[in-house]
Amino acid sequence: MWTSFLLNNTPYKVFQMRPNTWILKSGEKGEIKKLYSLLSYSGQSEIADLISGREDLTLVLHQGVSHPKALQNWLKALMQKSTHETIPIPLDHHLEVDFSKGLDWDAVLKYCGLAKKEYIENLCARPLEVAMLGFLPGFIYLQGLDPGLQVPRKAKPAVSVPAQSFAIGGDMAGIYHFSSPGGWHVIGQTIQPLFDLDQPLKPGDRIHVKAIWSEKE
Amino acid sequence: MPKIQVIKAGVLSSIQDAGRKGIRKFGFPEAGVMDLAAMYAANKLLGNDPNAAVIEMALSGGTYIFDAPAFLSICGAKAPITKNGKAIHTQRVIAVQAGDELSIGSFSEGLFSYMAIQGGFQVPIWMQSASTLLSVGKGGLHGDLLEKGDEIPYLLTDSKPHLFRELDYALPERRAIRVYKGPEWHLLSEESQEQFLQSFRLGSEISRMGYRLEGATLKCYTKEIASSAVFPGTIQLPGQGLPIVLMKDAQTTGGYPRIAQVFEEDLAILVQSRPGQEVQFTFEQDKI
Repeated sequence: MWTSFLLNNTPYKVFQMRPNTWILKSGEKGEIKKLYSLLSYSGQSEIADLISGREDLTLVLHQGVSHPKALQNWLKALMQKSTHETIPIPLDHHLEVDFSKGLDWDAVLKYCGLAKKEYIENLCARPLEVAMLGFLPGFIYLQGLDPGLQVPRKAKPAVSVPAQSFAIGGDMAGIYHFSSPGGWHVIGQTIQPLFDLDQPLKPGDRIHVKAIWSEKE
Repeated sequence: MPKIQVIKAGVLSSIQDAGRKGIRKFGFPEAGVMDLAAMYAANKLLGNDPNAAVIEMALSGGTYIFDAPAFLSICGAKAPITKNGKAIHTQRVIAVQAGDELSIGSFSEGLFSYMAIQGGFQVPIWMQSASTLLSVGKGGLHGDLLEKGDEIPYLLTDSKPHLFRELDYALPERRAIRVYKGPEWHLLSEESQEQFLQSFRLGSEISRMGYRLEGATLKCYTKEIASSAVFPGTIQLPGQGLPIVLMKDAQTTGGYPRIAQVFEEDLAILVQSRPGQEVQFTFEQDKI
């Protein structure tokens, strides 16, 4: 059964999916993202997994929590603690992208009304920021894409997007870790994979894109 | 290292162990054996680590030849098993010599079976596990189902397992499968909520990602939700109204209404069901 509770005066809708699994939703945009960041950074050993959905997050704990009240208290304590302690500083990562390997440049440049050189200069001018991970194995969502560089997703997804594709879709950029079907526009390929299980990125980490050209344009 | 040669692979054979935990947050399915109890029993009989890598087989087993002496155990679905053409009993450790040919036929009861070997099959560990993840072609022997001509390494060991110990496993009892109401249960029509508790049949579309059910067409007030977490045991309702029960290789998020979640302890009942068999769900209690 869905119930609700308040955290820092923000109402959350809560659902217990299994004894150790809770879905949390908030009507207030941005609150779920904040909670996701907080939980990602918390380093709490009780957290077994944390899955971000489009409008919610799902928290998997190592042990069952029997009641929403217990979950609320645990989250409250966590929020209080995180204001006392320093939240880790976001890390900077450098990402080399080969823009010669873009497959969908024509559509992207036509939509944005930009020359390729301009588009890439704009893209590299400011770091992007890790928004979330997942949906597809190792997929990385990056936010902070300049509105002038945004293109709606493809009406019909491509059957196969190559591994390590750097792509844009809606207001986000993203990196396909593995080859898969995909609806984002591929504009390049990363030289190295950005996803690393041993050193996973965290929401808020900054990604500095550096343009590489494997072919002369 | 000695190897087991695959002469005939069966339709859905792959290397698995207990799978990967805690990386759904990065979008990775957990993979791992479909019937954990069967793998544990197979490894236990040999004195192995409970999570030692095994060959998972579905519907039928296949034929294998051994390079060197080995001790094995086979556990799970029931099947005729022969060594060099002669039927053998499989309630105890199976000893094979170099050149022996082991054949596991079509399963007569249950759907998944496991072959464990003393010391475990030796495949590279990818992302914390030996399990094959078919959707991305990684893990296991070569990221794919076993096929004819594959060679799977195993350890040559001096120690002898207990030869008279009996396998501690029985196929799950066929009874109603306990479920929790899912986050979108309340969006099912009242009639569909009742129909869900009447019986379904297991359809023929079964895979490590999910089992499709056949029976009453259920009606939900929403066809799609903002994509949200799913797990093995989540029962989704796609638009056409026939539920799918997600399994070990299922994706991490989905956009279909989640009408129920199978008790973790009861998922094996479904795993070991066969296409056409009756599937009955029950709410054991009103709340979790």
